[in-house]
Amino acid sequence: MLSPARIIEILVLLASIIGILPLYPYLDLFSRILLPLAAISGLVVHNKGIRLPTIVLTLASIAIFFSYATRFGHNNVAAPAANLLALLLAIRFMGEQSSRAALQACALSVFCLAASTLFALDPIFLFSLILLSFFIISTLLLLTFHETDKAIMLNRFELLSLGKLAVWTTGVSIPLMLIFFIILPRTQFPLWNAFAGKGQTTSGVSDRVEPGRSTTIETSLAVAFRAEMPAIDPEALYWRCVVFNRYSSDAWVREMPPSREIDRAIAGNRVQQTIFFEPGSSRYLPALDQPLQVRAPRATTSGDLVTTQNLGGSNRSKIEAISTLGETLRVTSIDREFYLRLPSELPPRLAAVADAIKGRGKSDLELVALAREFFITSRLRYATTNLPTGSNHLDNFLFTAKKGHCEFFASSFALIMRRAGVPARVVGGYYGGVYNQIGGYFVVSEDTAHAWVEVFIDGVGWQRVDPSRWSAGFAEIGANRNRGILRRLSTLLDTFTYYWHATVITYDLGNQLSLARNAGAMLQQIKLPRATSRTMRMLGLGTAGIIAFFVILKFRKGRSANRIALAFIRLSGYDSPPKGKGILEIATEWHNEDATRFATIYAGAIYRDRGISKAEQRELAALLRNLKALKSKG
Amino acid sequence: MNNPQRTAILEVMDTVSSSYLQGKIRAVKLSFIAMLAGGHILLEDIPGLGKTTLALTIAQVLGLTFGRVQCTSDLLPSDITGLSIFNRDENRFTFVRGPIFNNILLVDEVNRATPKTQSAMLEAMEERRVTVEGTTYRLPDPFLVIATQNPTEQAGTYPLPESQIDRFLIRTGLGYPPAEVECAIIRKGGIREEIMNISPLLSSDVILSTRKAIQDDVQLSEKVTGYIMQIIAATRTNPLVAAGISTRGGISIAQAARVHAFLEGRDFVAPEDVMAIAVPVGAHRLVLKPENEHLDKEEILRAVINDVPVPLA
Repeated sequence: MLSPARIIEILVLLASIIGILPLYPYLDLFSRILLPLAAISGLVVHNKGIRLPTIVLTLASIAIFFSYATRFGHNNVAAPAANLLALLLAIRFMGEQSSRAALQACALSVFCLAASTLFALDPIFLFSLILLSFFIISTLLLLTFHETDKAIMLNRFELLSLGKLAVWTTGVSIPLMLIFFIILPRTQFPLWNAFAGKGQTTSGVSDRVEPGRSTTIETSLAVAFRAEMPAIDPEALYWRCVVFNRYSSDAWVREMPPSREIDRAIAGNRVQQTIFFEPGSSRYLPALDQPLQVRAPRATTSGDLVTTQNLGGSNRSKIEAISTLGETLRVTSIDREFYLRLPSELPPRLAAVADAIKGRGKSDLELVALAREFFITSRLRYATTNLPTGSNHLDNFLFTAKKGHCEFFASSFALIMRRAGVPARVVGGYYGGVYNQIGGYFVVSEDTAHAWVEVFIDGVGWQRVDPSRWSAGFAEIGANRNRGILRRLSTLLDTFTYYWHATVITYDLGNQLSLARNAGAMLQQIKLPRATSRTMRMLGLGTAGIIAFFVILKFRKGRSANRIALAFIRLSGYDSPPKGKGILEIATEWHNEDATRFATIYAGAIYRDRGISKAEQRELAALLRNLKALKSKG
Repeated sequence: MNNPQRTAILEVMDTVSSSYLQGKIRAVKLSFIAMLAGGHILLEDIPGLGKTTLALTIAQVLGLTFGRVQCTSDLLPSDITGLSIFNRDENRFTFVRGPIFNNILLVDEVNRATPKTQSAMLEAMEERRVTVEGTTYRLPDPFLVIATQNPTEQAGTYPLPESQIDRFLIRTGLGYPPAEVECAIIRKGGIREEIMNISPLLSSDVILSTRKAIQDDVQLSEKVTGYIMQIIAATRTNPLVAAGISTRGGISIAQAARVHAFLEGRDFVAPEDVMAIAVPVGAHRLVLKPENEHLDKEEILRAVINDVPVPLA
């Protein structure tokens, strides 16, 4: 026997935890510490039967409200609101326990869950929503009992049937959620990002290639994007994002390419990709080298095949791209001057090497081969720590430290090529990716950001050259990380996240409109038969038939008799009709006259092969009510 | 249903089981059911638990004629049915009736008789008449055979074959009485003397009219018939059983269930009645597969019944 009050207490606590969990990572440190403390102290206080004075809690609520109200601003809305909600919930933990308080806590936890969508649109929201619905429905059910009779006690059997009801109600509400999901307006990105502008900057493809900026590069394992496509050779996975075409003061930057130049991918093996681009700082959209066509909302593609999205950064966008796998971009003519521009001062030793190469080679291809020879004989190592910095970092990289990452390689190689008279440019993007067999897509993380070079070979076009490949240690980066049970588990989780993004987050107004249009078109295509008297008759007959069917179903005696017997059996403490026991025997277990009378009337009707009469039905229902009342009392 | 006959019978049963046969309520009740259903009963238990006392008491209480056969291996069929003897005075054969021409016949240790004698007697039980030398004699009505047999004794016995055992409506054991009752019985000693002094409480007319009332008034619905059918069908498909309950077994279950319902004061048969009598009526009719012969037939039948869903609507 359990008192509903006790269960309500537990359910409310569970609902609060589920409501606050998705919001928790985004709260202030103060709220994050206070919440668990409040929950624990609330439990202790209630167990000891202490009552905190209401006035103290009210004052605390008011103080918290004002302290956060002052922080509100036009660009700081969500964070104070979320913290305020969380702290009100924390105070609720410690307050008195009444039905009103339980309802307040339920409402606050729903608000907290809703507030979490201001910060992130993760699949965890869906789980939390379903769990929270279940807990709140259960709480409401129990509250109705508790409010009717404070002293009521429920046995295991009754609790079980209440639990079933709660599960049912939650289960029924899920299809409704789906309907609302389809029709209600939505955003594709957390609103918080819309208020706050750009989020935190991550490593990855940046606006400039500046090898000497720090001694180590930060590697973030965060996902940069996922590309739905067939599995291909990981060696070919060069994801092209951006082209840097001017070198100025230690960094490669991007200028608008000459307007006459239009690069084309060479026709060949086509690969279609659907890329889901995570929100980040980059507005350059990735596609496999060489991109034929890149399509995304509000995106433009320049002559050197760089696709830029104007609303970049905060949006999780979907890109449709078609590429051909190759290393050469065809182009009729380029502005050689533009791609040969160099700053007035180059590192002297680098310039000397370039001049020597220029003196020995004749054609563009020979010059590239000579530069390659120089890189290989220099025995450069690929490294991401203890990198050369400072003004002469490229000199340091090539001749002293002899180690660096892709930016060093690409940067110095492009400079040597330009000095030697070969037009060159640095390409930024990603290299590699882990293929997810379940979802059929590549996951590319931020730490695989890469830079390489394109050189112009006269009569051929832009040729991809990756100088990092000439180093020792480069082979380790790339696609060889698909091992271990944790990795496989995270792949599985990633698959779920992927589908969540692919189907839920990117579902937007456009999809809604197209769905509505399709539905409209389908409706128009349905040909309604003419309303002749014959069709009307048929329709009437059909409707009557359906109604009759349901009426018969409802009043079929056996069925209703069965239902009342099952109700009695459940009330007697059996989940289903027990084996080897008839209704008369079950009735004797009650040691109660009403039960015996019920069984006698019921058996007397059905074991005489006749239906239960109306009067009997009434009496049976009355007896059942008596027994229910008896059961709930004891 | 409040029937004066039912009240009378219940009173008698109550008197018998409380005054004379303490701790044997079940056996007494089953004996009455067998009699009211027009069947015979086989008491199977070790000696000394009161099988004979039970048979004697019932015969005495009902005010019926009582015959007794003690079976031995040299018992002849004519020792039970009777035989024709030449009457010198009248110069012709006259038929001398055997002990079977009584309302209640106690056949003690039936498995000691030879198969020939057993089958002659069991045929008479089934057909309720005896044909000797071309003349058919009807047996009295009510006619109840109470046979006893000792299941543990093996030497010099001829266990009843399944086909013969099928003719008994009910087979039951007696079991040891509860400890306190047994104590009292040991202190008081046997009650054979007392039994001889019991005055009859029921007449044969009452029994016959009650039997008719049960046949006419107690309704066996299609649902419960279906339930019986399901039980006997389940015994036939049970993997432990070679041959399940026969159609005659089904009829017997239905008859006994009617009587049980009548004794419970109902004019319809409920599944509970079937459950209450199915094991004593049905178990001895099961023929187990040879490899399962050591198993308890009653346990098997009980398990089968528990698996059949009770009709609820």
